[in-house]
Amino acid sequence: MPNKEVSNRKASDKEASNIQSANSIDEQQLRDDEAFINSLYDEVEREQNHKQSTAQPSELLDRRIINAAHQVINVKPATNKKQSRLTWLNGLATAASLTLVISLVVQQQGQILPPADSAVSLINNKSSIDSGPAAAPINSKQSFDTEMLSTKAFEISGPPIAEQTGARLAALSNETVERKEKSQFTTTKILTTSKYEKVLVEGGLQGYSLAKKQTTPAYSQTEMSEPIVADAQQSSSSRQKVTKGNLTAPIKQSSPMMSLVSAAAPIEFKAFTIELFEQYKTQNNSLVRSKKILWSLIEEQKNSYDIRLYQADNTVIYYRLDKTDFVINETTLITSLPASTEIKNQFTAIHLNKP
Amino acid sequence: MSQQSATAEQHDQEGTDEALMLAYSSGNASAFEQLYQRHKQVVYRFFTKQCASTAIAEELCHDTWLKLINNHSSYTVSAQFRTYLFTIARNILIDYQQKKSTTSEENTNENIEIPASNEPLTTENLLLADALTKNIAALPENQREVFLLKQESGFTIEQIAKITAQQKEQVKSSWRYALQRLRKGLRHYA
Repeated sequence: MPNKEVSNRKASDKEASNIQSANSIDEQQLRDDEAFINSLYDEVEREQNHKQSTAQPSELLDRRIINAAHQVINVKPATNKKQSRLTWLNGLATAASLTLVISLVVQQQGQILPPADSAVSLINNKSSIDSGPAAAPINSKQSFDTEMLSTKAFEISGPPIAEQTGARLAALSNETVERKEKSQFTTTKILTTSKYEKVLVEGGLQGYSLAKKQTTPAYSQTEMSEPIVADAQQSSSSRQKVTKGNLTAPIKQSSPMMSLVSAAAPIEFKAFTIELFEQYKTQNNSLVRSKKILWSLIEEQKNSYDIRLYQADNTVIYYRLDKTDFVINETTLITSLPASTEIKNQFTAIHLNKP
Repeated sequence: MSQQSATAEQHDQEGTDEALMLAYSSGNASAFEQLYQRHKQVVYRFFTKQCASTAIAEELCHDTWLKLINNHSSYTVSAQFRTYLFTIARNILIDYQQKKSTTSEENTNENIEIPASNEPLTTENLLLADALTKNIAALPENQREVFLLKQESGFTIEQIAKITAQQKEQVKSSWRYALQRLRKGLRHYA
């Protein structure tokens, strides 16, 4: 038994030594092979030494590669600079655009522009008149003057100017009417763009400032269908174009629009007595101009006027003025306006109906 | 990051390949020129010995260096620069060989060009050089690659294992078989 173990051990030792010797032979062989190849290389390279050193890429390739290396390094910062410059320019452009837009908006808000509605109403009028059976012939000059008038009227934008010119315009208007009556020129029916001129004449400031709101296509069609006598000789350069004809235009009692609005918003009107009138008159006289009592006509009934009265503290009271007791300046009688419109008139435009 | 830059500075002082590559990454173009001068020949020889004509070898060289240039910003010192460079070169070569195989071009020894020499070799040496080149070209691809990287480019077995992404033993085996084949083929020149 021990002999067998010894023999096995010997066998395994032998095997291990065989493997070791095989490995060493392999290693030796590998070294020999390496030496052999190295010797061959040496032999070739001894003569080829110069040749090997010249075995290199062409100069053209060298240049291409080095140029590419330089380009990548140089281009990158340049690109960054360009990008940063572009970013800066973009920011500036955005800021400039915003500034421009904001300034335009602010400017337009501050500016009183002729309402686009007026042009619409003019067109509507023209079409209604042209198509209507009782359409009157429209003189092109007169039409032009009317447009100019409208434009001029809208130019009045400030309260002082409007108020100063109000009385003068009224006077001029009267003169015009007188001249018209005397003149040999035939009067023709023309369209005015709106009746706001009346307001300008009488009320000055309020006329225009509210005019913008007052025109609606529905209103315009109703209103403008009414023929108005105007002076054919009117000058387009002055507000003398506001004529008596305008003032004497027949008043429509109630427009469909008005009744619609009235129906939509029923208002309780207090009776406006003579005592109340006297009180307001006294109060109005004592008030400073900016605090004066104002009123706006809501609707003219057959026997009464429905008004909205603005007190000094800006509170609103609705009154019904009996026509037997009160008279309102014709220039302020803008009827057929929607109830929502507010043309504020001076309290002085209301008078007692006394002989 | 600061540690890397400190390392880069240290390498810069020493002027190692890695330091030069880092310097190039940070915008120093002349550092690349130095690198290129150091390694252009080895890379070129690697390609010429890989059964490629000089024109193709130049093209592959160009691609290799261009790839290095384009990837300069992502370069980090994780291994020797030469290992990094030859990994790129090997990948370029593999791509080329794949393209070549798809276009069914014959990979024969006829494509091999022995670089022209200004000084004519002796007949014996000319024959030996020719035989050596042909025998190297006749090696299986993996053996040839390992042989060239070790014999021509001077990489160690470990470095070759890294470049070729193989096991060390596998590389060693390839090296051994390559030597045996070459010895067998060139035994007449002993």
